[in-house]
Amino acid sequence: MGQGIERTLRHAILLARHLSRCGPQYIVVAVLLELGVPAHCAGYTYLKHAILLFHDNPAAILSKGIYPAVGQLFSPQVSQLQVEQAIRKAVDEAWKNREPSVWSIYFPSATDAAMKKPTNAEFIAQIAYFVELWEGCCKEVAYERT
Amino acid sequence: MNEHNKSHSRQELEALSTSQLERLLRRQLEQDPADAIHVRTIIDILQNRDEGPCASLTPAAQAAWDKYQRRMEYSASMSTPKSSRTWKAIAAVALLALALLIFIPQPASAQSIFSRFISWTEDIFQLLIPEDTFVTPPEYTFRTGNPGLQQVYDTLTDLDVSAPVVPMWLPEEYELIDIIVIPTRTQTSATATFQYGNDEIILTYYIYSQGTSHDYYCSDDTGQLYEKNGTAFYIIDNHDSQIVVWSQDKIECSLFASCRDVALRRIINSIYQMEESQCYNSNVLSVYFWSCPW
Repeated sequence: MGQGIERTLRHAILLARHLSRCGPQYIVVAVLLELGVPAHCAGYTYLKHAILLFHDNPAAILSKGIYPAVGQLFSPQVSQLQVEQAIRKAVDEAWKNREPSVWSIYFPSATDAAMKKPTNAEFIAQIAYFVELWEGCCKEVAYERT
Repeated sequence: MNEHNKSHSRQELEALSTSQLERLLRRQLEQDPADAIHVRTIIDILQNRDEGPCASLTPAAQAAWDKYQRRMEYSASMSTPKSSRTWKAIAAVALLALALLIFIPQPASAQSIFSRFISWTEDIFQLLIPEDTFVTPPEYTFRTGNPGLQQVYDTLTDLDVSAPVVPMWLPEEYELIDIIVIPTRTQTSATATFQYGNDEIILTYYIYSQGTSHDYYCSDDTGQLYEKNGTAFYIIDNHDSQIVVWSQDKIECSLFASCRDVALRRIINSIYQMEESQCYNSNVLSVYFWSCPW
């Protein structure tokens, strides 16, 4: 994969050191804000919940499990189509105004030019994997502090 | 509480300690919606202050890191660019079509495509037009092996004479001496002299600019009438010489031969010797010779 992915580990350790006592939901928020997902749109909230659900259930299928579950969290209930569209719009907005150096931390690729816009599934899965990495690094930090 | 929610400038944030920044960051993340610029600034400051990753990871962190890398490698291998997938599909379809063309027998011609390839010759690749598909229409062309007669023909052609008046045969030993063209007000005369030793054959043509009304006829029995191709040729013997006179359209023609051994009739017959212009297909070529009944 190359050295670009090392930045991902370094960043996970950084967040682990300074946000080790936080739950994964804070890390998800931090990552979404870093990636430039607009916090005012509905897709930001749906993304937050979708990533946390996928983190807890990595085998879940997005369209059949994650989207309906996210829709049921809100009142009135939101359809999975609306959830999918809102998430897609949020990812599009973040991609338009992205900072390549920040995006390369969470979506390591060979070069910035080779980076392509992730799909909904890729976006959610990648952030969930990072949260899992962060949890492993939290144990690293806890070990340092002992 | 309100002052914690105020957006701090970067300088103010950098003035805070790491633990203060951590608390501020956590508070920002608890808000809904969080201040993105604030969060990013704090994380950036913390990143600058960070000492970097530790030299060796704990087993839990190492396991998490390995798992993350495996997932990245898997997703990188699965995500081929759409353009290369498209081209791969096109290449696969093209190969399949080619295989079908080669291996499926051709029932109509009962020939495999390989036998067709073998039958190709260089001509196919030179893109030459087949000779038998191009045929020029036949036309009267004056071709004779006697260069002198060719010059006479060319001279008369220059004088706008298109009728067949020039013989295509003369005895080979006679050579053209000169051609004299004399234009006058009413006519143009062309005289070609062929010579062999002391013997001469003189061809004379009087070309009238307006339609001629000259008609030859024999006033007595001294002349011989010889008809050929609808034209009356009058042959007159005068001691050792022979003269042939005839008219064609607006041209008065005469041939004087100083020797009686000259085959006049053969010369006359050769006037109407025609040959079609050479066609591109040699199978169609046909030459008409009005052979001398001599």
